[in-house]
Amino acid sequence: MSVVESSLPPPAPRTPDAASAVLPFVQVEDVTKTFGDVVAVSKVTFSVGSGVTALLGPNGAGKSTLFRMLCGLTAPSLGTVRVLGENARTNRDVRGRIGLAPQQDALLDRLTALEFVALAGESHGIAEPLLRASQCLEYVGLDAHDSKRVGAYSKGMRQRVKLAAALVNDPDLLILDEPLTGLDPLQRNRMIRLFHDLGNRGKCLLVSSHVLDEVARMGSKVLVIAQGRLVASGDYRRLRELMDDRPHRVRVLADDTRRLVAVLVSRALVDGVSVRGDTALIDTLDIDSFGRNIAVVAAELGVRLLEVVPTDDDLEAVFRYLVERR
Amino acid sequence: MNTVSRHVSWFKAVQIMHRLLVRQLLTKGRLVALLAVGFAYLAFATLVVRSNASTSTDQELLRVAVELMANLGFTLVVPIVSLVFASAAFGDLNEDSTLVYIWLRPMDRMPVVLGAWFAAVTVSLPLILLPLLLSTLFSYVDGSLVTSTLLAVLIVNLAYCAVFLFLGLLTKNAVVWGIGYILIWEGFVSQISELGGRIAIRGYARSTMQVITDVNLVNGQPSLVISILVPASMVLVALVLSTLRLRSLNVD
Repeated sequence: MSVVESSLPPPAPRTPDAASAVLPFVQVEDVTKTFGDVVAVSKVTFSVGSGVTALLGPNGAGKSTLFRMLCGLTAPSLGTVRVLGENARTNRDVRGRIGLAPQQDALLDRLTALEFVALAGESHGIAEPLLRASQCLEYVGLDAHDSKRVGAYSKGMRQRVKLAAALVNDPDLLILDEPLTGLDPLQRNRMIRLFHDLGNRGKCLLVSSHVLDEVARMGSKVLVIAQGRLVASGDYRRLRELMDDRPHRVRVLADDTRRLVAVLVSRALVDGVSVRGDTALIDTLDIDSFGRNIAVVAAELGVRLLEVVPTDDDLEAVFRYLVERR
Repeated sequence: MNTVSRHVSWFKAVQIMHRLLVRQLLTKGRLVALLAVGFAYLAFATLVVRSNASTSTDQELLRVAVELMANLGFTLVVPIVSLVFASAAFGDLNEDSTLVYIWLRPMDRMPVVLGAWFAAVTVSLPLILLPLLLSTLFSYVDGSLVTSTLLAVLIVNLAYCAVFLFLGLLTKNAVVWGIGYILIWEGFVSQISELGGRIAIRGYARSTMQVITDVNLVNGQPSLVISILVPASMVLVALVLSTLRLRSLNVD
């Protein structure tokens, strides 16, 4: 069943707790986490409300460590982390209001998907865990009656099992660590629609990714983390502007690179250049103009272009730029 | 925001952990390897007792069987089988990063630990009792051997499982450390030091057997009550330490 066709499973009944109704979902204040000499997260401060917020950062930036601290799986070395106004590491009830789909692929491989999700439901104190588990599996587009063990599932199916287990307690805060990894484009689209659906229902979703395009489709709120530091936060469109404003680096190889580069510089098409042998590394703030003109200039000079390759169109380069600007 | 809370009772949490871990712990490889250890003991013990049968009195045969049980069964079979399952109860979950699916639930830590301990006992006890009891039956000796074996196995299996459960939460190399503990502390230090002997779990298996069979195994024999109370205290301490450890654990 498609996730857009299926409906969110009705929340399992619980006891009201009016005190938490007015609190923000997540508050992180001046948090640092070190592992020996390694600083994984450094002086990070932010707060998050309802809706989808994307945590964007390259691999090893500290996203998973931050998520682990939010869930209480590890304590911050410095600073405070509050989820629904409490410390999830010490408050049992708050843990019952968090849904986590961890980054690691590990599942209890000897269980079926239904057993795995029902176990999650049972350990959350849900009265009819099997029924609830079936609803959640259908919601993520999996067959609840599949007799295969999850150990035999594909990566994409395992991701969805994790999501179903994270949803089983109807959590207020959903933490999804790289949930789109291993999914095909169709599954990614479904998942992203599902995230929007949950966000529109007042849930707080924190979704990490290292892929810019995914983040662009998830929502307008982003937190950008690099080298353990929060380097940007706010509206995704602002990040996009920063990306467009940054200098781009292009590697150019030609049969007479030096002559070509000299003319490009004289026409102010480049902002910086270094040449080694026949290869030039060119920095330009106006990548569109550069792209339009380099072939024209080469033709004018009778220079044969062998290679024109952007070297920093990846996310790492954006992060480097954001970090260095600070 | 959803303003709700749920509660998982202690009994339910114990039940969940027990059911999950019994299933996770019983792998084909472990079953085959540990049954092989048990049945190797059975074959050896039967051979030794039978070879003495024609030349020994019943009392002498009982002594041979009890000493075999105390020096081999309780030195090798009981601690090794207990170690493999109890250290894996949390160790496996921690090792493959699935502990997060238990840790992040609104369950108190103590019943989670209790459930894991029960699970380790549930899977290890039959694998220990089967070869050890068969060896007593094949010996054709006094019925007190069966009774003492049953009681001693129960006492030390409960204690070993609690201690090795804690060890599984302390280190990822719990089996290596556990074997070191079995060989060095239980096997060596307890023999040469009186204090070491009082702390070693195996000593209480020997004293239990001695009380019931009247075969002299230890000097300064503790009473049956002491032989039960001291391991029970060890269980309590190990389970409390495991609870504290689980509470403060950094989970992947």
